[in-house]
Amino acid sequence: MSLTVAQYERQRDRLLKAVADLRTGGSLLHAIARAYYLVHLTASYAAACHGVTITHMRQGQEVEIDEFTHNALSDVVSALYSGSKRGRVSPGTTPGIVGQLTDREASRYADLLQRDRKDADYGPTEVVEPYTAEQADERLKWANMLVEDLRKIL
Amino acid sequence: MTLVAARPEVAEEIEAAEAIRKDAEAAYFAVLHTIVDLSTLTGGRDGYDFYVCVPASDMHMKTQQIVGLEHDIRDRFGVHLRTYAIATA
Repeated sequence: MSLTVAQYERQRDRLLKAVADLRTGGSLLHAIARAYYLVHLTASYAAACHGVTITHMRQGQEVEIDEFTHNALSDVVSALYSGSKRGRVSPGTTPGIVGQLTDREASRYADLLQRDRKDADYGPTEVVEPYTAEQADERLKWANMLVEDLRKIL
Repeated sequence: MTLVAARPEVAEEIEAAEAIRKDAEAAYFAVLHTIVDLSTLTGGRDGYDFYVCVPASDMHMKTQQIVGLEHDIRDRFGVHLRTYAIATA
């Protein structure tokens, strides 16, 4: 389902507030997870704006769809940054992004944040907070840079 | 198996993909063992993700090293293997 601009902005506002509230309250891993969802939201919205698609095999046939799994997000981000095909992801009309991050850095950070989101939502991490405040802030900074860069092509 | 018997061209594709995955896994584990203790490795059956335990104090650095390796392997082989770090006390 594609969002309108207003729906995207509302969802973004909700997530930004959640990240700030959780970080202030010391829920570091969940703050990172919300920041990941902010990246996912912005990348998905940018991908929809530019007709980014992913190829899947269905009943022996290759089909292109515009819905992405979380595992595909790092390739989607890389395609949005580079304007080139990445794995099974085609870039559509994406002009590419010249931002704070290279496409390799952006893809890697998206992947790292996605792992934290899984840890936050499902476990199985055995400690309550696996990161120090400094390490968590570094991850929040990655998310912030990703979102700022991705918003350049909205 | 029925699909493979009925469509030999698909069987060849599957064999080729499995051969690439084996090469990718060999290259992956040749480096992964230098990053984490593989004695705690679980998962990975039927193409699913792997899990490995790391001390919480190393979680930040280890996950960055693992993801860096995985992106190198993806660039070389077109195969995205994933190992998730489980932070232990």
